[in-house]
Amino acid sequence: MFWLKILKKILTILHSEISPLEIAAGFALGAFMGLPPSNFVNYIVVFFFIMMLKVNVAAAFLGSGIFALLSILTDPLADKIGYFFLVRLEFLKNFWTWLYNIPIIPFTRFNNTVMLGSFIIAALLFIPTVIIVKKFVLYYRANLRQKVEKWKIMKLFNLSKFYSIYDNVNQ
Amino acid sequence: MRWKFFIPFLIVVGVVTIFNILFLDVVLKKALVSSGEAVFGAKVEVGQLKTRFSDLSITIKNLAVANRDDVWKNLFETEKISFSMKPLPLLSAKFNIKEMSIEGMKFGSPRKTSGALPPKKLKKLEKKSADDKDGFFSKIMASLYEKGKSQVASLPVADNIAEARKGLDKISSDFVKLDDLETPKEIEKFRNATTEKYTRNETLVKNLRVSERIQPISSAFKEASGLKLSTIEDVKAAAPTLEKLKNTLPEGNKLIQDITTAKEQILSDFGSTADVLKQIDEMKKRDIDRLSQKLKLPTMPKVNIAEALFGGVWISRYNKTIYYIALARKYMPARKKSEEEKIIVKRLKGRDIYFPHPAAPPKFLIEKISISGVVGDINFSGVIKDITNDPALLGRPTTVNIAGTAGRRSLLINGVLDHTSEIPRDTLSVSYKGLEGSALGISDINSDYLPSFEKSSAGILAEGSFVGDEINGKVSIVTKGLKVRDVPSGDEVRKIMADVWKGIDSISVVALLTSKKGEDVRFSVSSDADKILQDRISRIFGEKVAEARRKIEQQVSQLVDGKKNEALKEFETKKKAVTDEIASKESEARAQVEQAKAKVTEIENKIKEIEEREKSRLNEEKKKAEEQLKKQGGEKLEDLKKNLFK
Repeated sequence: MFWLKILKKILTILHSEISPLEIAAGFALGAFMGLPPSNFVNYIVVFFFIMMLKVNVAAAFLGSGIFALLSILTDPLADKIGYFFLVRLEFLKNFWTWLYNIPIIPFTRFNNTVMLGSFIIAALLFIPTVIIVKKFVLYYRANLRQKVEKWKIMKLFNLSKFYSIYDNVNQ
Repeated sequence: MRWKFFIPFLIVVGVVTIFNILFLDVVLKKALVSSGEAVFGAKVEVGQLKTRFSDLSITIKNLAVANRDDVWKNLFETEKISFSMKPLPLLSAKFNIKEMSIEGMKFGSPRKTSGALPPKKLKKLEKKSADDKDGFFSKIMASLYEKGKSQVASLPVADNIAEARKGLDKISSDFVKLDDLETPKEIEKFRNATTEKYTRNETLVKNLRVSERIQPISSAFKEASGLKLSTIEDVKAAAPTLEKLKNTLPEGNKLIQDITTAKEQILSDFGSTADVLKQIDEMKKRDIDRLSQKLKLPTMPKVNIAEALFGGVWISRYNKTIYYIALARKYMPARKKSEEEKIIVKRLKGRDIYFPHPAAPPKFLIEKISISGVVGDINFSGVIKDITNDPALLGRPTTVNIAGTAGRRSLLINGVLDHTSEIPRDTLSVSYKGLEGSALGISDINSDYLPSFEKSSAGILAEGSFVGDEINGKVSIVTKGLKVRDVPSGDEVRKIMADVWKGIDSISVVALLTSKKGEDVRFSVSSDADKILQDRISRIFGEKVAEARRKIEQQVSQLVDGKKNEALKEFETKKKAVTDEIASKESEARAQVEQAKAKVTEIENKIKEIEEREKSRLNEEKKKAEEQLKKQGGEKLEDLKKNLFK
């Protein structure tokens, strides 16, 4: 059922009239929530940006979910990257020390290797993700949308109703 | 920018924050329970947790931490824990508490439900702690655990005595059979040898031909005895007879020599009765030893009562202490010597890198804990200071000072955990006076083989020093008021053990533990009672074994002594016969020879006398003749003179 929900969400977004760039940006921002380990302060900050910027919220949450699954694979790499930045780069030591000892910031757990590493990976993946997702949305809408609309599962989802509600909300 | 979402966003954040604040108690309670379970490996229960934002205080009521080694007891429980956090460090995710109060602490209280964690959770925790298995302290604990398994839980000596007892019972009246014994066969051989010796030596005596060789002496003597010596002519006539007698003397002496040699040979051949007896007794002893072996009488065990009584429990207590010291070092690590001055702790899926600032407080600090509670019936109170995750930054060691008294009982705990430098130094001292003997944790305390500890009281002084990877621990225990249990009649082993303990109403025990990196753990337990008990058990054990041997000896003697006495009698009779015979021959020969010698001397003396007499007569006559001659000469001279001057 979980996978069905994910599929429903993806198809809903793809079959809507939302701007591909908004979808892509939202999806890419979702990486900042999905890749790092769960942390309330991080979620609040990223959620703020997701809400305030003109990006698709659903795509952001979708991206968050998908990147959360990918984090199983990226965590070891994130640990190494985080360790490199936090420990090996000596010139950053004073900066980290200052950051660590000021209020609120420590709640972000930036000093955790996987947390920082994941953030860096999300940042590095941001532009490529936006480009790829945008291209995919465009391609899908041009070539695959009509075929998929004929699938029985689409009728099951009753997507036409969702399209209109979704469009209204986004506009 | 979607500014219209700013207010909804704030509302959402506000709602979430309020939700978190409202349910903060629940969240914190859950966090406390899960972190407690991770640390103690057993269930942690919290009755109530209340937070108050006005002073950032937290009050925890009825906290109970189960004992993972005894899941139906609590490791400790507290009635109330209360503290407030400093606000400023809290903004930087630093939990600094100026003063915490812990009230109503109890140890080892019984639980209504099991304190064991569900198997899945336990497995997860064990998996986490598996990484620590190669740590120095883990190895020490594993080594001690192995030593503890091999410590004897019950008194081996009682088992050995029981075994000896069983062995004793095996000796029935027909345990020893004649065919099993070597001694009767040896006695038979001995008898045959005696007969051979007798025959051989009889022949030896016969071959001396004493009577034959004496005969010339006695006949010469007879002849000489018939001599009449009064004049010099008699002397001349006696000379050949005397010569003949004299000539028999060398032969006589030779005969005596031969007899003496033969006598020595006979005595040597037979040997002394004592030697024979010794030989037979040795054969008997060998038979008894062999039969004793058959019984499998156990050898005398080495007694280490202290090890048997206290070893197992104090190994486990040492283990627990090492575990908590290792825990303290894990959560309050010493500053490591590395190019980074950062503390690195495994957290989440990665590592937390701490960036302490000398001017900033550590991430976690409790400056002072005022603690009070009860142990047994001792109300204690004390202070623990400076618990922190970064002792090197704080610059002060953690100190523990707890004391309590109740009448004769007293408790004193002092400790210093100094992790401010690279090498951690932990010292701990616990003194407990007036502890009930039953609380010592003695293995098999109700064993019938031990005295009763019911009304005893103990004093414990435990001191431990953990410097780097070196451990030195010493526990001294003095238990007084032991009482020997009443023994039901018929139970001999219990009676024996009761005798062993009689008069011993106190025991002093010292348990030592030392360990260095690269060396095996050394653990020893000894007591002043060991030597006394060892001596007594040696005596009793020896008596039991001796009793078993006596029984066997008795049976062997019954079978063997008759034959032995017969053989000895025969030996002595035959030996006496031969030695008497040769003795009589010897005395006969000596008598004859002495007689002959005496005769020779007599005759020679007589001859000498006669010769002297003759000589003196002749001298007298000569003198007389000389005098006469002189007189005559004188007269003639006178006449001559007269005639000359006429």
